[in-house]
Amino acid sequence: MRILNGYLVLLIAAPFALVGCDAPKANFSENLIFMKLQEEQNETFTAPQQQAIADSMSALFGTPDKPFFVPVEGLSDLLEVRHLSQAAGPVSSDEYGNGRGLFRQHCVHCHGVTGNGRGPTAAFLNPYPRDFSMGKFKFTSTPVGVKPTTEDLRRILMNGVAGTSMPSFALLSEGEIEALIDYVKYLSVRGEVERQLMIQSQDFSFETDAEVSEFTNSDFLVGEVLTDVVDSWLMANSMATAVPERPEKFDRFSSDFDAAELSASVDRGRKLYFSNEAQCVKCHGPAQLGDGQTNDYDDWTKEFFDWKKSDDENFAPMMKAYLALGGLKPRNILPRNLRKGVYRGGRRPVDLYWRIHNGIDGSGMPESNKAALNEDDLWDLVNYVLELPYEDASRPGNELRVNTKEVR
Amino acid sequence: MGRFWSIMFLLVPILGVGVFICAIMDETWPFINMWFPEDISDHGYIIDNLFNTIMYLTGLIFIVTGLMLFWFMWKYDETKNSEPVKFTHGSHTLEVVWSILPAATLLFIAIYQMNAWADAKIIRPTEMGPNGQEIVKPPLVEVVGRQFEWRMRYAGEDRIIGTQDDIFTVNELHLPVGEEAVITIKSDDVLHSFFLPNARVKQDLVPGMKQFVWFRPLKTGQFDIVCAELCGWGHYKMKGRLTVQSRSDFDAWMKASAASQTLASFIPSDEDE
Repeated sequence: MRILNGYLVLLIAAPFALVGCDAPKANFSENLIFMKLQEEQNETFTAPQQQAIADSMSALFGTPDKPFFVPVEGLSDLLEVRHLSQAAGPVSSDEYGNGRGLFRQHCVHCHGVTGNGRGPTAAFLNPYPRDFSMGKFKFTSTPVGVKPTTEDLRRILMNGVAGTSMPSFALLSEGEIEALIDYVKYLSVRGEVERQLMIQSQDFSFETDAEVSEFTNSDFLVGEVLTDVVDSWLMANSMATAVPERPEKFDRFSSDFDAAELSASVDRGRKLYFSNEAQCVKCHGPAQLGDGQTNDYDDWTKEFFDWKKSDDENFAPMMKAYLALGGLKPRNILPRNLRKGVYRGGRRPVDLYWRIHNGIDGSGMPESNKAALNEDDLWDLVNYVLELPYEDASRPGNELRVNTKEVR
Repeated sequence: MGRFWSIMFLLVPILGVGVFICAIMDETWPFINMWFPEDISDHGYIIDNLFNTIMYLTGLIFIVTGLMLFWFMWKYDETKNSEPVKFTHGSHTLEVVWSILPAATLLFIAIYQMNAWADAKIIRPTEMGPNGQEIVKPPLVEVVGRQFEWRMRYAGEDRIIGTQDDIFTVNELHLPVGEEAVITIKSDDVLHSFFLPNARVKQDLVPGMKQFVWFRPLKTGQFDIVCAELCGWGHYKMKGRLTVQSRSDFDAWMKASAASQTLASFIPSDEDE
């Protein structure tokens, strides 16, 4: 009996003794893919060089358990530093029951600890989760190349991205959403600064301590690198594109709604869709099924994957090397099927106006041709896109342009 | 071994019943808020009664079986009995009794729950049609489960889902109080289960299948929508919020949702410039 009890205790205790209760310490991973890209064009990174970059990064941003932000000008307009500790670290709650470690609870399994879009479940998703480190975001109210506004990030967190694996976090408290928005900004700034350091470290020599400190001193790190990235974020909030009011007669829920006017506008939008001015048909296809062209890749993939070089003899080993460094298998970016009624960046007319007017950063969707299309034309296009899911699919398509070749 | 194991077997019905009593009392730690959540639907008590009937029935059998197991182990313990084992060919009467009793019980349960099942799953609520005839009530809203969120699509004024006046929300389900709510449920990806604990409504979502659930909420307030079928990594946080409100509040909310959905202008705020 006693012996049996002894075995029982051992059996129950063994897994705890073997595994332990502590999770491994979380670390920001280096952007090895970007480093390799730099090495392709320049020289191999030396050990002191890598060390200097790693030291600078932890001096500027801390660790995933203890993140911080060097006080720079305008920081209070960018984010609240106390939000970082609320969003970072292991999942827990403080004495008032407020959630801590929100990023690890909600985001990390797709976006990864570093925010590079390569969390454990990332490879199973289509499309892949966003890599924040490039500082590019797709569904923004700002023009291509400009950072998103705080409101843009909030909208994505609240509504999710329909048609992708990004769910809505609408039921989190206001404070938790704020904390996550700020942490996304922090990770994005961090990712961009790391890239900048890798590029700029090429101009430095790291042979003596004095030379190393030229790189790692705060005048350079904060004054020249960090401030630039922070400034690009600070600019964004004032660069949101103004959207002129859509005439009320197109609004189904308004008392001024005029079905005939809307239908005329949809017809105009349809003409524009096939026109040389808007050229929507080129990618979204003659049947609006998103099958116009399907060979392109998004900017996050194109960074290390150039399909035009696929005949090169170095191509296969290079790709293998990038995938070994954590790169996700390249997949084509597909133009949206406009007949599905799924709008990733939001279904409000204002969202669609921004998409068409500004384009979608990183995706290949260009901004509209401002010389040829005025705001009324854009509203016609928005109305057309909003009505497409309800259009009879058997309605004959437009005649293709004379110089268009039928492919299949 | 002595009679150690017979005592252990006796502990099973004692602890089992103890746990249930603590859970039903809902007062002692750690059994707080573990019993039924507040019932807000008009059919909830039927489901609860059914649950209780079956629980007390099986509970009784559980206790009797537990006690008998204990009793036989106690009485016929090897160390206390030196007599050789006696074999019999059984008792025909006893076999008939223990066949007919469970059969009758099962038949009772089958008949007893028939109406509850039919009302909850088969007979769709009806309403008066335009010509005075009774028609099946059209769904108010379509709920689509997706890893890991609930997307709602309200039918809008024309009461048809899939038209231009539909209203879309995420994770927020609003229903008017006191009216029979018919909900279409679908899955976008994998198996989910649409579970409204307070309304005693639970239905699995099967990809490719369109199903209906209905109930009449009787209390206003905010309640949980949860997923009750393991659907992937984030299953536990696949939560939604059910808000039951008065008809006028509901109409106002629909109007506000429609307005925010058709937002069609944006003026950058000055303070950022």
